[in-house]
Amino acid sequence: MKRRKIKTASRDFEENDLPASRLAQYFSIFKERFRMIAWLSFLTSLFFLPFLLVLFFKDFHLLAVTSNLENPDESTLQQARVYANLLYGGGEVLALTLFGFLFSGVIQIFRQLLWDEPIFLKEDFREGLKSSGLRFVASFLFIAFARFLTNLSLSPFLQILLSVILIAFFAPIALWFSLQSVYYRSSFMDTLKNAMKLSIRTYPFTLLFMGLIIAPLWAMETYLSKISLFGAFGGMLLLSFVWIAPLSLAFLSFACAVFDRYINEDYYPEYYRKGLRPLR
Amino acid sequence: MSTLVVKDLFVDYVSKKSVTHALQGFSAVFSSGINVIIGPSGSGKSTLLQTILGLLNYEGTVEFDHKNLDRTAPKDRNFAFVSQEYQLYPMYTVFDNIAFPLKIMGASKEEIKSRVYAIAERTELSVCLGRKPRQLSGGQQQRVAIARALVRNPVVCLFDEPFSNCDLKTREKARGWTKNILQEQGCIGIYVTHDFKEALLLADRIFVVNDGKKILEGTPTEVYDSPLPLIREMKEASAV
Repeated sequence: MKRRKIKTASRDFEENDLPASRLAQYFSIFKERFRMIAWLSFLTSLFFLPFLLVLFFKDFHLLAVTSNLENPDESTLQQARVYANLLYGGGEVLALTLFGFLFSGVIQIFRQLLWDEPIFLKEDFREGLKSSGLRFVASFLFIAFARFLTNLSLSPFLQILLSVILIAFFAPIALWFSLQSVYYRSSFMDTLKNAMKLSIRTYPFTLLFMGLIIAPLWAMETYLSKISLFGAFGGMLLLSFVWIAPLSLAFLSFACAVFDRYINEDYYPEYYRKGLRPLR
Repeated sequence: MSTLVVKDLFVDYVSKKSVTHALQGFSAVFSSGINVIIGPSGSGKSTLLQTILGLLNYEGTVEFDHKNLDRTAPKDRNFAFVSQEYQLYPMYTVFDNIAFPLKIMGASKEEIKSRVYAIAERTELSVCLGRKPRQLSGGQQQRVAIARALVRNPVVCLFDEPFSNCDLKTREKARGWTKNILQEQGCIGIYVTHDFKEALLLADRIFVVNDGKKILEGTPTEVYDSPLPLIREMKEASAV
């Protein structure tokens, strides 16, 4: 069997060769740990699958109902949508909450990557579920339930308005609430207060991240499904594989920089710039 | 003090056309410390290491602390081996490479972490643990190979010219901490080299091999002062 020769660097790897910033670290991780990222992306899409399936069956049901109607007006269509949302809403809430719980394990492994710590896949995944699973459940349950209530509105305008309020106001707080639980063991109220402060301080980036995650999925479900339902959901599954995990790692990397700036330097020096080249 | 005794070892390499007698009645007693085996190319040094590891069919006996190992499988002997080709897993990080034997043994996560961090500290690899082998220099890669060998506290550690691919400066540094680590571990080190100077610097005891036989054994001073022609040739070759 031909033995594969490992390349060697021209000089010793030293502390100064560690990435200097979280951005540099993100690209370094992507390059050096690509197989790990691919594996975690696969797990993410697997965990997202139940939610996609519920969405698929809801849209399939809606398609079946509306295709039997003769020249339906907008009000009738909206009623059909609301009815479908009511019927499948419970399943969506459960599936999204389940995704949040399982995703906390993936985020724990991302944290290990960013901290340059060794990874024990099963143990770290379980550790993530144990230490931050509950807070991820709380955040995702809140968002999923709020989304469910939003989707029950008979007025399309009100539906859009409530969705915008949910995404623009509550979702960033829920996001920072969950992310803090990966790093710190604070009380519920302290974590919530910090989440509000951090979401205000990082508002543009947080909105950008959420937009990058949600927009393609929403666009596929809303528009592509009108052309081909199977195509839309195949596309969403593929997107969940290639997009959610890498983007989440990027945001967690950004979150590390934010925590370093606003929290770690003063309160958790052992976490400050962990995994990066030390500042001299 | 532990001892590894090899008695009357005979190893033949048989091909269709010929038979090569690689070891011809080799006998020696190796004790704790660094035992260097030196000899010209083709003298049977590497064959001796592989025989001790249990990887070759042989005649004779191999005993550790008076226990015959002839029927003991290589994986059960708790012997470690470091070759000159590093043999690291390129897709694993340095941490995972070093931790590999402990994971095979079924050690817990906490034990793996503490032992790997400890050996990484001693081999100056702490900053590299999250890197892949290709990001390291040759000397660092060899240190990873040595750390992987020593992490499970072997009773015997065998080195087959581990630094021959390294530059002079790296080799000198590596010899220093290899000697220190082996002394700290207290295991039996058997180090094969063709470099006479390296043998003199490293060894507690030297075994000179030629044509599959032991022709001389002694302390570095005793071997250096030997009038044997082979010793004179090796001195000249190493410019000692």
